Amino acid sequence: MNKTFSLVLPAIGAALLAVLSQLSFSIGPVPITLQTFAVGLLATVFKSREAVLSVALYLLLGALGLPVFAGGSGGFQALLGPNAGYLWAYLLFALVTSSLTHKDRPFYVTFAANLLGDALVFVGGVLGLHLLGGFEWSYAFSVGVTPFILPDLLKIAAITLISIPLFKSLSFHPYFSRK
Amino acid sequence: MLNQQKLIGYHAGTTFLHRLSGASKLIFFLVVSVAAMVSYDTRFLLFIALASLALFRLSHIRLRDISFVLAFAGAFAALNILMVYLFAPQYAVEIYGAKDVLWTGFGAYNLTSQELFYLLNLLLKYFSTIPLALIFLMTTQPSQFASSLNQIGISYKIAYAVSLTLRYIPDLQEEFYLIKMSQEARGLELSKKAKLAQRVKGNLQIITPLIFSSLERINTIATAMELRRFGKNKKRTWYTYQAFGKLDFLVMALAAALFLLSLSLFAVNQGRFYNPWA
Repeated sequence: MNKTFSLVLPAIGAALLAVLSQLSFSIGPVPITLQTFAVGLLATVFKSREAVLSVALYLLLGALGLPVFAGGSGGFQALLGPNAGYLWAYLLFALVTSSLTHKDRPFYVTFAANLLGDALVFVGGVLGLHLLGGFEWSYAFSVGVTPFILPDLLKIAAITLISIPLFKSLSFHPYFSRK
Repeated sequence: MLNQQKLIGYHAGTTFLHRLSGASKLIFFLVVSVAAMVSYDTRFLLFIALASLALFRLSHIRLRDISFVLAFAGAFAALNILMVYLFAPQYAVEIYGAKDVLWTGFGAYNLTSQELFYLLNLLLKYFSTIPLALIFLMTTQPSQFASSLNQIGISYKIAYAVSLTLRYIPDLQEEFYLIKMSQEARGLELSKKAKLAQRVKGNLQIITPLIFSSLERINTIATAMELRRFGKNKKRTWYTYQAFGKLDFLVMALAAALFLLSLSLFAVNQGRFYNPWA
């Protein structure tokens, strides 16, 4: 479309990430936030450049201290602390998933693309817990991956389900018709 | 409900912190935050934490304006510190090379002076960085954020995107709650009374209209910006621009000095950690 649209889209995308990341619901005592869901959904619907820029803007706002990360946290410590690996890996998540998803591809391709992107987030998370948090690899894996597998599968399923009507409805738009 | 979800925002004031350029405050905040996060020298962290709290008081930010955010940040910090203990209870013993058991727990879960000291360092990091972040946010006009980023070298288009994001976060929050209340008025049950599957489905039914209203907003904004010739030139001027004054240079020099101090402490301590048991 045009350059201005390519700038406004990630700006509003980052705002969407900030708003959706604050939402959560509980399964028993465990809170599940929609941060990963929001990143995955934007990566599915947007093209690569705008998806990555949305996440980058979101991380920049968090670095500036705005409480935009899940749980209302923010600030530089979130990007350098033990959980930082997850946040940085969202950039990879956005890049990989947006490259592999396409409006005309079947739903299982969308699911697989989000699964791959989410796996990269786990890799980043474990690296962060080990290198920045000082945890042993086995601890980093058991605390950083195992409890989140099932919730994240549910989020990916939700992304897949929600993206089908979204793509259909958005096909009128010149940007999304070329996704 | 809407009030609770409000992000902290700018409060006009006349303190010296308000008079500083947003760019110098940003540079100070980023440089000192990095120094505080990388260093584990307790003396340095204690100094930064006390200075941050003093600056906080100087800024005249009222605690009740930020109590909600502080509660969140505090809970998150406490959870982080607890997680570090639960999953690496002996990490500090390795770092400091000594083991003074205060309380004999189960297996590896005893409590040592070293672990407490390490967790104290983590706590001081939060006390150092959170007040600085709040000071920057609450004494800088939001529209000056963008010019500050441009002033430190970021492209004005990216800087303006940051400004747009900040501008539209509260709008999208409001939109979300409007959609939610409209759906609930039409019979959608989203509270804890409903089953989990129903709540999940209900929340997803809010996401789709939120995305469509956002896209409509994006088109409107992009068209309006184009009509005002945004992006036609390599540079732009800023209405909210504030040139660096003497105070700003002093602040940036102080940031550089603190950073160099943290680096020199690496040499003094032969590493990141100040070890009283060495």
